Amino acid sequence: MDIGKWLRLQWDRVLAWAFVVAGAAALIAGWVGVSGSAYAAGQLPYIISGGIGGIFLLGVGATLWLSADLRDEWRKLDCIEDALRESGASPIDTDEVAVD
Amino acid sequence: MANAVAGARIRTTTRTLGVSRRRASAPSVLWGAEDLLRWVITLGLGGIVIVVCWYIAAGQATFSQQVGPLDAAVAGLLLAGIGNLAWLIHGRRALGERRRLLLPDVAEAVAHSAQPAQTVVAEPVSAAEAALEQVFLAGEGMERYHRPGCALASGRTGWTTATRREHELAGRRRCGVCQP
Repeated sequence: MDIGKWLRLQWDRVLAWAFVVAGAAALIAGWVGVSGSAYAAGQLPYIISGGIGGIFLLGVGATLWLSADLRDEWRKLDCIEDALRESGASPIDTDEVAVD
Repeated sequence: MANAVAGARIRTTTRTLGVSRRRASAPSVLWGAEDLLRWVITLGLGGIVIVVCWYIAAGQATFSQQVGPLDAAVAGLLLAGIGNLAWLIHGRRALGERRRLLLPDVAEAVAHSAQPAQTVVAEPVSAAEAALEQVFLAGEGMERYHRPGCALASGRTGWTTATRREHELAGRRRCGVCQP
């Protein structure tokens, strides 16, 4: 599988890694900034941008990764539903309606 | 495994985006446009609050003047966290609901599927005879018959049992999943 196709299929995990890396970089940059300033007033902007901003980016990355897992599970259920239909045991009961 | 998931992604991408024939009570998509909008808005607002607070705090000379923006930045982070949490909870709920509707009693089916193997070992008959005498399940009008422990037969009410021969005389074929 070529890299372009893989990136298109796994875009959510790629994006999640990008956010996690960005979050880690922000945390490290914030730590460097805070350690280089002797005054609390000089450190606080680094805490907000590097610390809180880094946690924000890590949170988005984690959410994207978990969302990708949920999407995979959803696709597996699609496959199971197809298998149920093909086996003749319809997964849809009497309340089945066409919703499209 | 990764290839299988990728293959499933290719096959079903179109279907997960659109709405196909499904049970009306089952969720048709994992996340709808409304969920996406809610998530993006909470994340965007949280991010904007953090950036604005950083900008304000960087322009203040004393620590006491920076405490307000710091508190607001933490509030922005909490807002984004709530948005993330709501997004994931909604996804998990939709997935669980669909799984319950599609596979009602998987645990029960697995427990039943262990029983026929023990019976075959205990009875002093040949495998062919045992297979002929064993009963299988099918619903009226169905084209396939299933093992009692088959996941596709689990939770079905009103299905009758019969031997393999009787099912095949009725024109039914083996289930492709449990392969009785």
